[in-house]
Amino acid sequence: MIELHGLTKRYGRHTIFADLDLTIPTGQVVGIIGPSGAGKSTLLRSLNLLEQPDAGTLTIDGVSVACPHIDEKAKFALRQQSAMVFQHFNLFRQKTVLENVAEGLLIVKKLPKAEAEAQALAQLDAVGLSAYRNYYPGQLSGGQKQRVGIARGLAMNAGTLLLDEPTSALDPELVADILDILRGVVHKVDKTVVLISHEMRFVREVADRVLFFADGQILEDGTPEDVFVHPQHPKTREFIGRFQ
Amino acid sequence: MGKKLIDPHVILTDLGALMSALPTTLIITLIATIVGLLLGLLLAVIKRNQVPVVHQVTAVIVSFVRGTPLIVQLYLSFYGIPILLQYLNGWYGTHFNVNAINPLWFVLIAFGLHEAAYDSEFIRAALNAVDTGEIEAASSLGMTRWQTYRRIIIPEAFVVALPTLGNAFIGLMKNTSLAFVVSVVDMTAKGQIVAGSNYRYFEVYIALAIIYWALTIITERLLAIIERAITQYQRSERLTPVPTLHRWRTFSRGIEHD
Repeated sequence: MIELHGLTKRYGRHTIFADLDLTIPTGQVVGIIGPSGAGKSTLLRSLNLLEQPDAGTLTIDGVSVACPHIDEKAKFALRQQSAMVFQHFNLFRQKTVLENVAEGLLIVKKLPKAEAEAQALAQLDAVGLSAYRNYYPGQLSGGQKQRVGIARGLAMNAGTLLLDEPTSALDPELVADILDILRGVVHKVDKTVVLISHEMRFVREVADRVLFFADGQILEDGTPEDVFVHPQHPKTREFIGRFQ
Repeated sequence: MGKKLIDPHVILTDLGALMSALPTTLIITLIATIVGLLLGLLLAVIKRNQVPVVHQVTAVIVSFVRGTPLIVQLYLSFYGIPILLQYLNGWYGTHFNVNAINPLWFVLIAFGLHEAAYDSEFIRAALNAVDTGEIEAASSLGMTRWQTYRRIIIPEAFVVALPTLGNAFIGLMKNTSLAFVVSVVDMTAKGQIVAGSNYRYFEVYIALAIIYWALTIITERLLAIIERAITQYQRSERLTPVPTLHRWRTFSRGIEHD
């Protein structure tokens, strides 16, 4: 379960979002849609403290932090409650595919090397890349890199998966592959998922709940049916209209 | 004309004599390099994180070291440290025997600080060159700041900094010839002693030039080997053509492209 109370983020005098409240029950798949620059990514990145909120409290699966004065221990505890898949993959370029996936298991979970590698290999197998275990990220296509990114996130076995526009840096013909994998992940695994995407049909298909986020606020919050078919807010209607 | 203008045999015998001081030259170079790298990394991290007070103090030290000649720093170390120790003896009742200190210590301290000041700037630039996305990925996995430095940032920064650090190492190796000013017998000092006894100055300097040059060539080769080893990931061939990916779920293509 994810709970935000009064979460606020500012850059200097510019407020990204203020006094945001949100509760996401365990296992719910939440899609966040909205115009670029609305703060969707900042919100998602706040959930694992890659962005430090300026006020409010944030709780994921019982681990709580009160912003802005977060002590280091609480920060690392909270981060381990979620795994993140990045828009630009952010793979470790000097590490092989297998090492990328094993890194968190080895260093954060402190598993023995053989155990970490076995688990990493199982994750790679699940995304169809075990044959590439000894390649470096620079040798892979964008789609393959994102598969590694997904395997790396899933390997940590956190209760929450954060997906930050996982297909927007990919060539159009590779998008379907990644969506296939994500569909499998979202359906198969009993995880809380927060997804930011511009792939509207995908969001509509996999999400249990859709948030329309604009101007630093949740303007619409409902089932995919509610938001995509019967949007209430004029801005939501205008935004959805552009994707029809 | 009973005496040859240049005597090649003297060069050869001089080479042998100079070799006895080679370990001193290498010890100064290696220790100053290690001190320089470790202290330089510390200074770079302090500057990067703008650690209050410490940051200002270290900035002054770096500025001082870069703003004064190495030979002056050697003299300051040679004369200044004994004075400092005598003050300590006076204030805290310690019993440093100032006259028993091996002058090599003054050289190591001066060279170590000198290298640290320069290396810190090279290292800082290299640390800044590391992809922030990878640092964020490490953070999101739950790695601590130190784990991220050790596993991700330092190995990547090392690749960037290696050519510059290699240059600094070669420069340092030759600068050790200044150690003689504080009575440490490195190779150059040894050369002056040898030439002083046989009056064959030109030959000894040829011999010295040969040794320094050879050391530099060996270093360049070693650096090339290290560089090859740590940039393996860059040279691995891109897989072309990209193999058809395994697909375990069929999915109607129409849905996801808006």
